[in-house]
Amino acid sequence: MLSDDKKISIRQAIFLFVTASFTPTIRIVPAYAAQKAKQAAWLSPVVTAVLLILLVQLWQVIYRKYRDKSLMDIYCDIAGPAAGTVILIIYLLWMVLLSALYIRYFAMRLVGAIYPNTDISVFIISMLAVIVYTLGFGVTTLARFNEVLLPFLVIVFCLIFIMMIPNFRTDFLTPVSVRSILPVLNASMAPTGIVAYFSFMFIFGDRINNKENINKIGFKMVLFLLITQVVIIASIISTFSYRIAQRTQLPFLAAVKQISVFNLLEKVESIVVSVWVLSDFIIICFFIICILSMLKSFFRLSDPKPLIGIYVIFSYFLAMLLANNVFEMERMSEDIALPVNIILGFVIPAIMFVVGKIRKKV
Amino acid sequence: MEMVILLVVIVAAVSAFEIAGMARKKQTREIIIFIVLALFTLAMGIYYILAPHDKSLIYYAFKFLGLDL
Repeated sequence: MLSDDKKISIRQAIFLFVTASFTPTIRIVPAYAAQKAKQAAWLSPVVTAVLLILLVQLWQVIYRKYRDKSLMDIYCDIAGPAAGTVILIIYLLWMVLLSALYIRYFAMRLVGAIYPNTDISVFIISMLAVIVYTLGFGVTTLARFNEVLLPFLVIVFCLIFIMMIPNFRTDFLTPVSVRSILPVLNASMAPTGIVAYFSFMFIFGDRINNKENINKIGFKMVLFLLITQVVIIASIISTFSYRIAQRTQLPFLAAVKQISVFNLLEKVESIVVSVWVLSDFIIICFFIICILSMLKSFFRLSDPKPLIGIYVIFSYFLAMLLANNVFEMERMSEDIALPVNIILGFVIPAIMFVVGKIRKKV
Repeated sequence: MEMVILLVVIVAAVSAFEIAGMARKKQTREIIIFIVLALFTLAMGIYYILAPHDKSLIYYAFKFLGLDL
């Protein structure tokens, strides 16, 4: 469903979230899950799916009352202006950090995967220039572009999965027993930390139409994410076994490098990298839109668009100062980013929901 | 030193372009936020250019939280 000039539909918003979640999913989930749950890692998205269904329900109930409000308005109304503002400042700082982290990851991956010995600034500046240009047209243009991009991404992903099948060894995915339950719960931290971005989508909730369909479209999204996450983890583990998957830096890319169709079609990893870059583009745009929406809400700005250029230069330097190497970034993602994402994406919305119920605001 | 000058020129050019537009629309709040962001950008940019191999923010975050990196 197409929306008016300034708003996007809930379907378009969910599509943005799905494309944005693609890049962290293939980067962090397989290695993390393999490390925690070994051969049972492929079951970890099931736990995430259950939690995400609950989160979808929660936002549906909240939006029955707050029809055209953003996350900022909702939190300030439920928790009060003071407590709401403090929580939202934490959200803002976290978004700033995440946007810089994803900018840096994007460049580091290109250098690590296909362009060794290249200055990462080349990639970062190119990407940020495209982002400044795109965001100038607003969230509607980005959402419409993403509607074209997501099916392409899914088709590429399906083709690659089919080409990976000859390398699969299903015995690497077993045994799975009752003793796998705790490790699987532990491993679900990674996919759950990523799907927590679903809540961040409502930072620009005032620009999302027909939110009465969150439940309906959200359920399809959960099913899609469950299948893709299981397929990604299972394809990597069944190609390498969990022992190699947990030690490999970019296991999905390494698995794709094994593809050889009749010795004719090889080196398809460049396709994955290009799709990956497109997903990076969407996730960086997603976070910058969130940051600009929060700045607009905090300072009651009429139009945050003039801030895009200077914010992007700011985030370039933040990305450069953030880490000295990829290992620091991985530690940051695993030890800090995933738990904080879960707190901000799942725990705080749940607390707000309970407080809202007590105060009869939801 | 050339990089610092380049940074100042870029920030000044972006500021001149955007602030002129905001001033025409009388967007005072936007101008203030823009200037604050521009100052932060300059400070971080100069710090990065002068000490590119200094300890990272993640290093300091881990140290602050008492975690091993």
